[in-house]
Amino acid sequence: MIHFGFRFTTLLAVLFISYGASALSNFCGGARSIHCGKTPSAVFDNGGRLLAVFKQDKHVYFTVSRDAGKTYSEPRAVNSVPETIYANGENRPKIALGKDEEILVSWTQKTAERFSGNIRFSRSIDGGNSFSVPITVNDDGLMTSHRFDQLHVTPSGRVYIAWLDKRDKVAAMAEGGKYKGAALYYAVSDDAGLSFSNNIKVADGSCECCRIASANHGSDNMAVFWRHIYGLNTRDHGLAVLTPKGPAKVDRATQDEWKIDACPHHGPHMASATEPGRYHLVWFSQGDVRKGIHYGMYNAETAVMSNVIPVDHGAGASHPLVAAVGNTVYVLWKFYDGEITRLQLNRSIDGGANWQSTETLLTSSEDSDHPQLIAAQGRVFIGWSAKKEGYRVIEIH
Amino acid sequence: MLSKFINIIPVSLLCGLLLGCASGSLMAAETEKSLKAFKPESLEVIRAKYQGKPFILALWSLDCPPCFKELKNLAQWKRNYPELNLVFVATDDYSMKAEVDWQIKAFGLELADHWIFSEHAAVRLRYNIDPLWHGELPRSYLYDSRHKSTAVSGLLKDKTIQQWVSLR
Repeated sequence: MIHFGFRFTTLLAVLFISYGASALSNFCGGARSIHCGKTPSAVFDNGGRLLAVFKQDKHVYFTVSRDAGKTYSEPRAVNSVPETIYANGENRPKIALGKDEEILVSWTQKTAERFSGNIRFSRSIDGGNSFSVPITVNDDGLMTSHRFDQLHVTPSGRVYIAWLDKRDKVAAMAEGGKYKGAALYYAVSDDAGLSFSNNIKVADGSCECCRIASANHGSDNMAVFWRHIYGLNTRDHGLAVLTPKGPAKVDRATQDEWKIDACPHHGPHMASATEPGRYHLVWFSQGDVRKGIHYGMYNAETAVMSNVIPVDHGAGASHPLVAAVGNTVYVLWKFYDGEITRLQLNRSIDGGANWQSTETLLTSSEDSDHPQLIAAQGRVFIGWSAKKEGYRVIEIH
Repeated sequence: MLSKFINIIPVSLLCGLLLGCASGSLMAAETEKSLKAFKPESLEVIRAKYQGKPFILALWSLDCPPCFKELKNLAQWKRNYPELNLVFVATDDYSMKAEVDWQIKAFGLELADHWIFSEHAAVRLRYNIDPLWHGELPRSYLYDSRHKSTAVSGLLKDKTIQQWVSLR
């Protein structure tokens, strides 16, 4: 019954979106639009409006859809003063909803030096009519890399921003030393983004170019899952529980033994499981132990991973996402076969123990962005931007 | 006599400047020209150019910190072994052409072959290079003279290059 409902919704959404995409060529071509801009991220507000940000030229733009992605309002600039903004699959503007429906936006500004950047934040307290002057969240005043922001709001309304930071590399090199990778830092706001705490370090030696995943830890705190360098050059993943007082837990979560002195450009993803402190994790590796995309169930209290299941080890498989509503778990990823990119979906209705056969949700015939989850209360939507097909929104749960 | 002398100096100075300018712009034009747009058929063009010869195909991008170590190291190899055939492909968006070109010059790698991803779909260009490549950078292919290639992910070790140089 649930299964039929799901398929029907999927079909409806695809038909719906296909109609929208056919008109793409009419409104693209230099126009300011979510279809023509880069790297959209979106969230539903409590009234069912789809709130989205995307990057175009030197601005993060905000736009609203009242019909779940069919039509959008005229985009409004979040940063009124132009600045260079990172916009790629791994490093992109983020949007989240505050406790009182504040619209929170973060992004990474590209600054003058190579790989340098600042973590930027702005918010709207009037439903997106106006945005505050952007602030820089990193507090070291250094011209170095502070990039790959991840914005998260807990159920209690606490706002966390985590990012990859090279201030410790600058310090090490000033003393003639060496420093591998970057460090994971974060800041916390207890006033819905009006102000942020001092920057807090989680761990030295993170990988430098992979997105950070986040999920709730209880009602007040955040868990993060990121690619980290262990030993000389083993690029597996760490998982940490962060609180305003500092990291409560920092552990190695994956043991694939991917030894490589390179940028995988391939960050992980996570979702809270029903049991507190447990997480559904998905990640990519080419390690000696595991290769391809995997799913696993992780216990943050014991730092034990269980039920590791290969999702897709095909060469064209990339950039997985995981979403969970109760015991229903979805894993999505991209698969390129040399001709088209498919957005693939695996579904489990027993908390990740057993998985149904793979189905294809959407396809793209040219370049495409990484798919993004769109948070909505009790429902799951996916947003996917593609060069030819534009930005498509699809409901999967 | 004095006026003649005065005339001569500016002329010779001008000549020097002109020559300098001319050779400078010639160099720039050559590098610019040598940064070619990498298309689906470009790997075949590269193989044909080096038919019967070994070469290293080195993939890199502007947003890859270890790639800069790789470029620096390969530039050193090129200085030590000018006959080394190096083919670089930047996987950056074609709009980054000027920055890629600037970087090539900054590393003194003008004498190597240089390509940047064209406006064709990057996903297809990647697949055409190697369907088994997952996008990690740097990524290199060591081609022997019969064009049998070995793929390497991550920084090329001097030991690996040395071994390849001695075997080829």
